[in-house]
Parts: sequence; structure tokens; C-alpha cells
Amino acid sequence: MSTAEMTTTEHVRRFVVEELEFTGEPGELTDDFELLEEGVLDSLGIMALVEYLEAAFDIVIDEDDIVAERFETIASIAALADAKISAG
Amino acid sequence: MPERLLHDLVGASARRDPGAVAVVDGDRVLTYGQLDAASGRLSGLLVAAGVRRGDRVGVHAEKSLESVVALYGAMKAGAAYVPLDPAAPVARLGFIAADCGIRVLCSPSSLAATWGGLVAEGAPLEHVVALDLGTDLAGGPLPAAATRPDAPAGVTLHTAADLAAHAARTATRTIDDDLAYILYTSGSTGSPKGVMVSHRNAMAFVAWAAEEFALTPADRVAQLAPLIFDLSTFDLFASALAGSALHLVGRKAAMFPAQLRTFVDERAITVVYAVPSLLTMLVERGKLPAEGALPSLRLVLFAGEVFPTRHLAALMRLVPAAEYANLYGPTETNVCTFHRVTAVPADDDPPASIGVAIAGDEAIVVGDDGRVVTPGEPGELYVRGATVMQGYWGDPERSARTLVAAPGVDGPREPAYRTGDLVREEADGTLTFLGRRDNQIKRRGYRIELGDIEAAILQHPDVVECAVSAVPDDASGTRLVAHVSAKDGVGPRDVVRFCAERIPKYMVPDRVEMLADLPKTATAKIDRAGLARLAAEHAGEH
Repeated sequence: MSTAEMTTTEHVRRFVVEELEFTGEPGELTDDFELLEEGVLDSLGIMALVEYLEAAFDIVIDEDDIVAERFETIASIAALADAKISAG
Repeated sequence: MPERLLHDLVGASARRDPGAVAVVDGDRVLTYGQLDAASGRLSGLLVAAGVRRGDRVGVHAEKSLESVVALYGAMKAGAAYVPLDPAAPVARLGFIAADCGIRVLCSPSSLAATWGGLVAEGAPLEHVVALDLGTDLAGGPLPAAATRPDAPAGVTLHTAADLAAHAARTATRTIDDDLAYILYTSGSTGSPKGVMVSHRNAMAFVAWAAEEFALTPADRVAQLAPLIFDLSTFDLFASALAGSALHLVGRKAAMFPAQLRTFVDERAITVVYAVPSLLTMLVERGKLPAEGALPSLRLVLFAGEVFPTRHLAALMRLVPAAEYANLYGPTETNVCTFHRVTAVPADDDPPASIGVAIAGDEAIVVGDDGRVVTPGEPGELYVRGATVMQGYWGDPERSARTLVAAPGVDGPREPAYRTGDLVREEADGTLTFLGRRDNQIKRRGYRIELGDIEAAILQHPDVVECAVSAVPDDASGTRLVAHVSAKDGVGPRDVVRFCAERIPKYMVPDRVEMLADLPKTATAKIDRAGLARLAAEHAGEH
């Protein structure tokens, strides 16, 4: 699958697996997996993810959107990106 | 007479003003009176559970009212507290607990699933105290009605409800040479090593800091650092000395710069002490207004790694009313030198000086020949004085290697600690940090021995050889790249997963490159310099 065909959810999952080097079992990483609770996303990972999403979708994620509620899970991060894409 | 024991600071502040706010966690508050009483009752429970002077009590918890009570309860029972990071791999925590013989653990019920793992990894646990169960320490309702978990076989579970049976007691008699806490840091042998800090060592720093930075009961100090990190001792104990309010910052809030900005504003925080990478994030992504940002802040302290000058300058321009100081010192010496940054530096200025020794400490710069160098010459920094640790737990050989007779010092030979850091004394008497003697690095304020990571990777049965390089990175400070040669079928993700089960996340390589063979130097050693260049070139491609 080329990156152009990937959904935002798939983009986020790929980032978590490849860039954050998710170390659990692949089946564990559901859309609702608690990334913050489980320590998969840390402060630097969040900043890297924001930069990745901004570049991949040509969007701007405002600092006020970089809050815990929006970064809890793959689903919530993808929803944030989708909202920015449709607003853009 | 000033207090000589850390736990007496709480009692003294409680006597001055029992209703003053001691610790704030979200919307929960403990006053100094409540903190003193709850930790006194906990010490009674701990003594009843068999804790004796000189024992070690584990505190396995995120920052919370309960964990602050646990630290003081352990010390009042005559024990040293040993913080255990809930986010660290169970294998590492089990090693630490076995290493220093933790029989009694304070840990909330939310972490009950890991208690059995600790026992399986060799922790000699006999008692677990879950202070989040039972009655709220402050007399209010608990945030969530947690259910009582099962303790592992052979382990007795106690709850906050059991505290009622224990009256606040007089603290176990201890002297200031007894250990207050043990902090485990990265070790070059692949195993964490326990830095033993006595009450006297800790108090020398705490008393200096509270006076130098003029902390008062009106201060609201943010606690950003985790309990396993020695920055936390300023927050906890300098606050207690001054009767300031300690505001705990949750792990999540500290991750999100805009939330941290809101936290500082809403709580009207006056003092922060943080690693530079966190302050850099606040500057870059905290959405600080161009003028009058964070008006409550009067003091910003930083330590743990070099603060890139342009980020420090940006912070000083955004928050001009605050005072700034660079604190320096490995865990083994606590803070031993400091430097106040009084003027906004130019972006291309060298990093902030590490300044001069704090009261009671002496900085000695020693050359390769073991003699004190003349000012202006580079050398290794030796530190001597009241803040220097007692040694490494259970490792007299390593202790003797790093705590040595101080060159050039006549009279009583209190040992000096060899920091391994290269410095130069400038004409004005201040010290400039030049780098490391070995391949230890700093990342997000954590000290990492590259050999420690390599040792973890080499435990993999199919790995043949490996070398880890630290690559400078503008965003994170440092990226860790591992070059590994292994039998067929072992990929980068296998190596990363293997590491994650053994070493903390901040030590897990950011990237793993598989090579058929690692390049060698003419003397058949791994060509580390060549691999470091390779790693840096790849980083440039991102």
C-alpha cells in the first residue's frame, strides 16, 4: 500500500510501530490502545508525531490541540488529524 | 537548631503552621499537619511490619499524595526510601529490589498486577502497603473506589485503613549519617547501581538551595521530575524546609507543553526545576505569549544536561521576570556547583557555565597525572564535601574506585568523587563543562552508559556483536543508534523489543541498523568512531 492510499488511522499506527518502535505484540495495538497510559508515547514522541502529521497531511496542529485527551489512542489522534484535514 | 534529618523538616513546618499547604495533587491537598500525621502513622505500620533502622523501603508509585507520605513514613521508620519507576521494566525493578533487599513496598493498588512480577524477578517482598485503599490520608473521599487486589503468595497487603491502628509515633532514632534514600542509576556493567545518600548529604544540598534561592511559605514549587530522579529531592525537601507548597505535576501533564503552561498559570507556580529538554518543549510548543508569559514564575532552575543556548535565550526573553540558574552535579554528588544566568545570552554563545561549588563543597580539577591542574587547563572534576554520596549499595569495590583521596588536599581525607566529567577553570574561578571522559551520555536528563545498552543487546542469544552511538539531534538532544550483527532472522524490531524488556525506555535505541559484520579498526576493535559517523550521516537524511 502506498502512503497516499493509507487512512489517517493507518498513518498513525505506522508511526507508532516504526518511529516509536512499539515493542508489544502487534495484535495488542488496537485503535483504542492506551498509548499514554502504557508509556508508548512520551513527550518527545508526541512532538515527533505532531511534526509527522503536519508534514504528511499538510496541516497545522495548534498548540492548544496538543493535549492529553487528543493523544490517548490511535483513534483519538487520527480524529484530530481528520478534523484538521477537513477544516483545511 | 536547624533540622538534620529530612523527615524532621515536615515536623518543623507542621509546628510552625499545621494548616499550611504541603502537597497538592490535582484537586487533592495535604497540609503540613496532615502530612506529618499520616507519615507518622505509616511509620508505625512499617515498624509493626518489621522495618528496622537501616532497612530499605520501596516506593513504587507515580507522584501522588500517597507517595510523598510513603517517603517520609519510610524515613521516620529509620529506613532509606528507594523509588521504583512504575514505567520501568519489571525485570529492572526486580533486580533493584533484590539488590538492596526490599521486603516492604509502598505501591498503589493500580500497580498490583506488577507485584507478582517483582517477586518472580527475585524481590524479597513480604509486605505491600497500598495507601490508595481504605481511607483518604487527608480525611476526604478517595478519588476512585479501588477494589482490594490479591497480594502475591507470602506477601501481606496493608491499606490506608490499617493506618488508623497506628498512632503517630516518635520517629525511629537515626543520625544524619544514616541513609535517607538510594537512587539507582545506569551502570557501565549493564546493571543499575544504587547511589546511597545520607540525610547529611541530602540536607547539605537542601539547606543550601532553600537559602540561596530564598524559598518561603509563599512559594508554590512544581514537581516535574519523577521520584527516581535526583532533581526531585530539591522539590520535595527544599519545599518542606521552607514550608512551601509542592504541586505535583502528573506524568501526562508534563508531556504536553501547553498543558504545562496552563498548569503553571492556574496554580500560580513560582518555582520550577526541570531538565532543559522539557523547558525547550515549553518554549517551542507551549504557546507562550510573546509578552508577560508565566507571570507567576520567579525562579527557573535547570540541570541534568546542557541547555542549548538559543532555547535558554528564548525562554529568558519570553519569561523575563524570572531568575535563572544552572545547577550541576551527578546523582553521586547531588548538586555540587551552580551558576546564575543573569543576562540573556546571544544564540551563538557557548552553553551556560556550571559555575562555582555550592557551600560546603569543593571542586577540584585533576589532570591525567593525578595532580591538580593550573586554572585554564582541562581536567577531570573531582568533588569533595557534604553532598557527596556514601558509595554504591553493595558494591564496595566500585565505591572505592570512584570515591578517592582528594589530590592537593591536606588534613582530614574526606574522599572526593570522580565525576568523569571534563572541565576547565576559567580566570574568574567558574567552571566550564567540556564533555565526558568515557562514553556516558545524557539524554532527557538521564545519564546513560552506552555500554549498558550494548550489554543488554548482547544478552540476546542470537546477537554476535553490537555498538551503540549517540547522535546529536536538535529536537531531542540525542538519538541513540545501535549497529548490530546477528544470526539470520533477527531484525531491528526484535532487538528493540528485547531491549524494552530489560532497560528503561529512555535507554532503548531510537534506531537499530543490522549489519553483517561491524567494521573494525586496524587493531581489530569495533570501529566506534566510524559507526558514529555512519549513524550521524543517516540521521541527516531524515
